[in-house]
Amino acid sequence: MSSTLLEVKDLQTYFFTDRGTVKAVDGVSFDVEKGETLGIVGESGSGKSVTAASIMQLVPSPPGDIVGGEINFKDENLLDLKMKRIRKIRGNEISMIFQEPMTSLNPVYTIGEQISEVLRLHQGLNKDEALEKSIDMLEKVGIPSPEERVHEHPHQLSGGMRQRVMIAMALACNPELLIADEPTTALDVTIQAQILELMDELRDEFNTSIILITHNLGVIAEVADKVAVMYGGRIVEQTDTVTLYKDPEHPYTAGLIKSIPKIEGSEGKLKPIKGTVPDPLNFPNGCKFANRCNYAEEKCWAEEPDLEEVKPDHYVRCWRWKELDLKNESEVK
Amino acid sequence: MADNILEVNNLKKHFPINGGIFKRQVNSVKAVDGLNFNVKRGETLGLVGESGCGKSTTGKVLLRLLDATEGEVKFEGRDIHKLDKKDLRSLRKEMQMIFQDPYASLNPRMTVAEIVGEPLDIHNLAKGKEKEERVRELLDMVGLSSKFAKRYPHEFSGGQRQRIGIARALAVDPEVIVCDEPVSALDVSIQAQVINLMEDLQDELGLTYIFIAHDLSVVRHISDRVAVMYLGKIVELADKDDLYDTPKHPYTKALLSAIPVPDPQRQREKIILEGDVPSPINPPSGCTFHTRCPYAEDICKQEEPVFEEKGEDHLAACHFTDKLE
Ligand SMILES: Nc1ncnc2c1ncn2[C@@H]1O[C@H](COP(=O)(O)OP(=O)(O)OP(=O)(O)O)[C@@H](O)[C@H]1O
Ligand SMILES: Nc1ncnc2c1ncn2[C@@H]1O[C@H](COP(=O)(O)OP(=O)(O)OP(=O)(O)O)[C@@H](O)[C@H]1O
Ligand code: SF4
Ligand code: SF4
Ligand SMILES: [Mg+2]
Ligand SMILES: [Mg+2]
Repeated sequence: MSSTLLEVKDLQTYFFTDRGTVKAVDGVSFDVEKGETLGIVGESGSGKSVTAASIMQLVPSPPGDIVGGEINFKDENLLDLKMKRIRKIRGNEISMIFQEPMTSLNPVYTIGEQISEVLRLHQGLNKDEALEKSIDMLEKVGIPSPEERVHEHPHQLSGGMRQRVMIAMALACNPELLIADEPTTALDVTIQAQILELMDELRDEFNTSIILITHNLGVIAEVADKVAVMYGGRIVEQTDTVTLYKDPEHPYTAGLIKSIPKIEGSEGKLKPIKGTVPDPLNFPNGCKFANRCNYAEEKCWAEEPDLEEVKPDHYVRCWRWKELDLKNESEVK
Repeated sequence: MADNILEVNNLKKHFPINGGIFKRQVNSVKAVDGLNFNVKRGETLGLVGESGCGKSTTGKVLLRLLDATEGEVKFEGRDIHKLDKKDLRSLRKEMQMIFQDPYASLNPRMTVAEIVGEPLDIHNLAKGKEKEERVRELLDMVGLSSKFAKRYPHEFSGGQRQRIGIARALAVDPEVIVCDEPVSALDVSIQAQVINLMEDLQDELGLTYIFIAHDLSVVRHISDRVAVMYLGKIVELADKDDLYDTPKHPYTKALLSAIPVPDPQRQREKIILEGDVPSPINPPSGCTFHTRCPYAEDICKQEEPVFEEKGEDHLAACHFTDKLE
């Protein structure tokens, strides 16, 4: 039987800037079961990283603030806890891998010192035990000659190795939830394949739950069990991975899938989504996708649709999902 | 016979490493290490490979933005690395470059009109009213309204900035454009817009593209032929469908298998390459891929394989191409 590890409910994280209030995350809800991988996709600025930062309570404040919602982890609402307790959970029960490994590794310390620090803090190991476990972790993530590498500084490693060190650090305490924000975006496909395989193995071994954030639809297809598609701070579609690619019901999801070239080769022109994402302060009043949607009609501009459960566990935020035949790009089913 | 606009012979670019108390050259980075290939007029040649394999350096040496250490690059029969200053300037009109980072490659203090018009000044191609007219035409060509002419780069999105970069490259009416990761920094929906634009412009203006990218799906879509680089060398070069459907080099095969497919029901078996790319300062002996190649045998460590025809117009450098079938 599956059981829910994390439940995010109606999360709202806003940034109060000189120009106005940016609703970076605006009413986002999802669950993550034990051992499950949730993928979050969306274009730049859609609110993926702010969602992750909110769970970890790493939103810079000011200007940011979590203004509403619940983040229920096991049986506690993280938003009600004291910072001291949050720090304890962070890195121990929930850990995070960031997009740019260089900004999250300290250049002054060896990688062994950095992994050991986490282990000593959270698991109370002594110095020697921590070093030994660090070497184990480096070996596990596929760093060659870990006994030597453990004494090196981050700049002595390649980008792929640094990302693996980040993963080793994130997994050092066997977290129940791993949040990976674009963990492979800066890496070559060959290294990306290594890292994704590694994440898969770790999930099989420890039943870790994973939230994987990426804009790469290929990566999501490969590792996620279910997917949330974000646009303008909202989830516009959410369902299991197979259904999302086979039967997308939201015009934005369908547009994203159609706009990528296929590795098996494809005939003719690509089919881009028209226009660009608006400035965060200037989204349309109704459906936030209206200015780029081929199917927008009067109602779409006037009023924003709710996220509706269209089939069991398949949620769509679109007025017209029922009548549109997105596969054949026609307005009637 | 094919009409080759570019012919590249034994092209090398080694960056010296100086050290010791006398700052003498102690070693070098073999960024580009003996390339041989031609580019046909009007085609798109894709150039792929992992980070650091020498793609950008190749692009820059082709345009002589960097001097070659050895070898030649012939544009319409003339070796551009032997041209004097004046001839080089007129060559610059024929060959242009578009860069990866639309943010960094545009001067933030110049308006769009100034950016796009600058090459016209440098090459004395148009002045005053005529220049204004040409700038408007160029913006129109890349799908930007001429009402944007007075604005600054920071007022534009990534995709729009890449369009400005393309308009600037087109200003001098070039023959060849080296495109270095032109869509890598863009969101997928915008990527498709820019790729379509580049294809339309090629049809309209008869341009030749050298298209550098690490996204192999994008490269397959836009290219006619594709060259795969590893540690400063081309290891395989063929028509795109031949290369993707029947790779003749183990590295190409591994690279292709590593691409995540955006279809959860069609996942493929991956060849996971061990370890990282070796340093181009001391590349491995023999076949430089032998440290990661699943097919390597003793001979691979000793003898460098010849880059030769393994099929019709399908070149590869490997001792054991046969094992791949
Ligand atoms: N510190 C901040 N101050 C003001 N606005 C911010 C801040 N951080 C994020 N935002 C805004 O919040 C929105 C969501 O940003 P977020 O970083 O979550 O996007 P993302 O989906 O992760 O994009 P990317 O794919 O580029 O990483 C954006 O409009 C962004 O400009
Ligand atoms: N000016 C330079 N001085 C010394 N070494 C250099 C210089 N420019 C590039 N290199 C080195 O040459 C090699 C090839 O670099 P290049 O930028 O051509 O790779 P690339 O294939 O374009 O990689 P990427 O995909 O990361 O852009 C790398 O090892 C790089 O560190
Ligand atoms: S609600 Fe209207 S504008 Fe929004 S996605 Fe649906 S059809 Fe398009
Ligand atoms: S020559 Fe040997 S090492 Fe090189 S690619 Fe072929 S089989 Fe592999
Ligand atoms: Mg982000
Ligand atoms: Mg490059």
